[in-house]
Amino acid sequence: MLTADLLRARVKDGRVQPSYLPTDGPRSDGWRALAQSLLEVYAEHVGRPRHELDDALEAITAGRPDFKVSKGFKKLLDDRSTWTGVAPALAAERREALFTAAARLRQAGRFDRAQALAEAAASLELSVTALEAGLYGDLKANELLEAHDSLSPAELVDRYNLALAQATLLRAQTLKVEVRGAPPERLRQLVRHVKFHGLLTRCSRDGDTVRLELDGPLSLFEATPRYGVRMAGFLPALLLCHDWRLEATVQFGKGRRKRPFELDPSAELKTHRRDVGAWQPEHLRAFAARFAEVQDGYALDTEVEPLTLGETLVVPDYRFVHRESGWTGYLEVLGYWRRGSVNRRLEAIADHEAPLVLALEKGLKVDRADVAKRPCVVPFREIPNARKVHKALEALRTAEG
Amino acid sequence: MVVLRYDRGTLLVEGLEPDQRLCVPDLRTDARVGGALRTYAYHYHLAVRSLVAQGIAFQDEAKQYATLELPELALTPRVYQLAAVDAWRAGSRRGLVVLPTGSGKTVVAALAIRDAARATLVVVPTIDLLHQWHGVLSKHFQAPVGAIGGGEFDVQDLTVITYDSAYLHLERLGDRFGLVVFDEAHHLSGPSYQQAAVLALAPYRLGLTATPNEEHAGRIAELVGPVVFRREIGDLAGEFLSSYETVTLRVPLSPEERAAYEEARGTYRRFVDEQGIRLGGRFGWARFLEATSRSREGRQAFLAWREQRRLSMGAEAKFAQLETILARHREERVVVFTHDNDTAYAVSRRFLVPVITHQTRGPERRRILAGLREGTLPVVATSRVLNEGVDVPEVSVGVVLSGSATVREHVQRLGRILRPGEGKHAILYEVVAASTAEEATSDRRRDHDAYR
Repeated sequence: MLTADLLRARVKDGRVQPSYLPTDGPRSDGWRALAQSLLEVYAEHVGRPRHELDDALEAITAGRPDFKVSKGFKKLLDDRSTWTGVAPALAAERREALFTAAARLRQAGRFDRAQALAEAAASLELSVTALEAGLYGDLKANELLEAHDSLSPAELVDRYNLALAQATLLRAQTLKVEVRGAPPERLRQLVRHVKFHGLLTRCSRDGDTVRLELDGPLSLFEATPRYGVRMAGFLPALLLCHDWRLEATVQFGKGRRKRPFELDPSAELKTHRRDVGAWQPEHLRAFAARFAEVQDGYALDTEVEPLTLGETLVVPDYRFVHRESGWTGYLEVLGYWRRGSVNRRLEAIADHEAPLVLALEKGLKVDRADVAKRPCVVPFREIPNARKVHKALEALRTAEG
Repeated sequence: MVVLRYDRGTLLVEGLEPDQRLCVPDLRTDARVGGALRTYAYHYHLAVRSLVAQGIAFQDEAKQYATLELPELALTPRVYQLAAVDAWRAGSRRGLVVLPTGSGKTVVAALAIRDAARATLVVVPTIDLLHQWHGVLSKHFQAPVGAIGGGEFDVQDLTVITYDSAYLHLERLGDRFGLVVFDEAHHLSGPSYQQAAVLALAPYRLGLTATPNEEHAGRIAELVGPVVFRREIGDLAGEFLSSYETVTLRVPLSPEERAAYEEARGTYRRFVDEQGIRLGGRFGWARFLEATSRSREGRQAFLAWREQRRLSMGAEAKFAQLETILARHREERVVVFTHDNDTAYAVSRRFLVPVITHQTRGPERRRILAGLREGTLPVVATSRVLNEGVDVPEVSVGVVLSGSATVREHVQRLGRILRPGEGKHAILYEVVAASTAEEATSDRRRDHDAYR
């Protein structure tokens, strides 16, 4: 990801506009050529020290007015590289031997650099050349480029454009997202992502449009970029949706003023996140089969629309329709959630009298006694027990009826 | 009933009746939590004061810090250390104590911690200081002391944390401490370091510094308190600090260096003149940087500026001068300060002395400092990391090969060699490339009482 200082953007009509690089047309050739030459430098420097690589890159980019782009490319390429160095402990041991030898000579009033090197090299059983050359072999600048996960120049330009949008979001204080017509798996993935990043949300729904508002508890007051990093991490997940709009308030430009930043599919950003949205975990598929086996009173459906419980958006994993009465209940399976989040979810269900059963992974740290009292909670290990879920649904249905 | 709660760096005030008003800044209604009032956690002391003053009954679920009973210190504090703590107590246990480096600020903090008798968090800028404070507090109080930062995460009623870790973790720990001590409190000028003060609930706060930050004094007073006690180097030198002298040595550039210097400086000055940039004032430098990023000429002007600075800072004659100084003081402990890492490593390779930069790992750094103390490694080169913090009383000679123009840095470097010792007389050398812009830099950095 790009650091905040590498962001290139300007203000246009009061809005923050990242300076995306063109990806087609004649103006795109120059950028791909720059990407190409940097990629070549990395390929040539596998096995050589970082400071040599940096010098070679500097030779290409120094004096170019677009050095910020090259620095951005370099950051993205560095992120894809691995490095090796002399083990720090070994290097430190050698240095200590050399420097104490030198100190003894100096204190005796007869400091001689060559003599100190020769003495230390002899005691370390190294050649003087090897001792001198590897003296700081553990420093970052002297690390060797071990491997470089290469990509095509066009891909690098794509990554760069995405990274610009993310770097803009690094300065975001609030973020509003509108997603239209997304399948439940996708919404579930987005919501999971939001929760994973610890962002507060407010959610509302209008037909097939879902609106999420994201921020952290401090954002009420001021411009704090402390949630920006998390918001930037949310973007690749959003790009997997088809119809969406993002609106953020970011601090940018003169006096770090708050300005709007907008993004939608027309920016043609490409995500590198593997699309795992439609994937259903093994244990859930096993549960569905088992549930159909043990009872026939309910029809089970995975194409579930999101539920809005006050400010919380819930995307259940299953919907159950009672064949006889048409009553509808839901199941949400929670894996690795924090205690506070689980409690808030339980409260939301109680407050809204939602017909929702929660399957809680047994490792979850929640108050046992408290959970046991609630009819809508089913603890499970590996696979939720179909009979217990059925029982919980029945309890909810009859309580309502 | 009014209830106070701590929520991730903020204070929630619930259940306030419509006719009840709190005199607390930044109060906002937060619709996301049922319309409770929310403000910064650091306003907690004002919230409590306001509730008490109006006789409003409240339930305090916010503070989660322990009351401590700590043993008396095993040492006799100096007069000014006791006076500093008295002044701080008189200021409602909030405020800045300004004392020169080497005058025992940690003792002041230990006295304050004992006085406040609350769970205490000490915030420090570097890993070195984290270890140093951890050692000192463990010794003074004979109690377990926690550490957060540098790969450690151990929370105790007495805990030391780095400013960086505070930024990351205080959201979750801000209610656990009743007193927060900010070491090198001038760091509280930047928004991310300020998070350490903003996210904490602690009503009691103590800031320690040798070089108070005048520019951000207002904000720091709001977060920590005003300056409650102040002594300068001149007040303490000779009695509580070592006596000292400062020596400025001017060395010439070689003819080749001079030619390259003039050329680079010409390129850079021409650009500045052509663009009509005024370099003076607070935003002069920012204006220059902005202009250089707009064109090819600008970029070249920036590179030229860097080159002329490199030439003056790394002048060959400085190394020859250093050779002479090291030979003259070969029986003393010497710290060599440079502005950048490259020069520090160059000094290390050339004179075969150890170097400490921010890249030096913990174990090696500790061994180097131990060697400096014991005399087996009597000379250490460093860039800026030793500007503040680390205690090595045995060091009596400092050599500034290059540095910034800031008074603060120079005072801190002087402070490094002023810890008192038996019959000690300290010398701070400053080696400056003659007839370069570095002379002006040198004049600016010495614009302080300590150099008169």
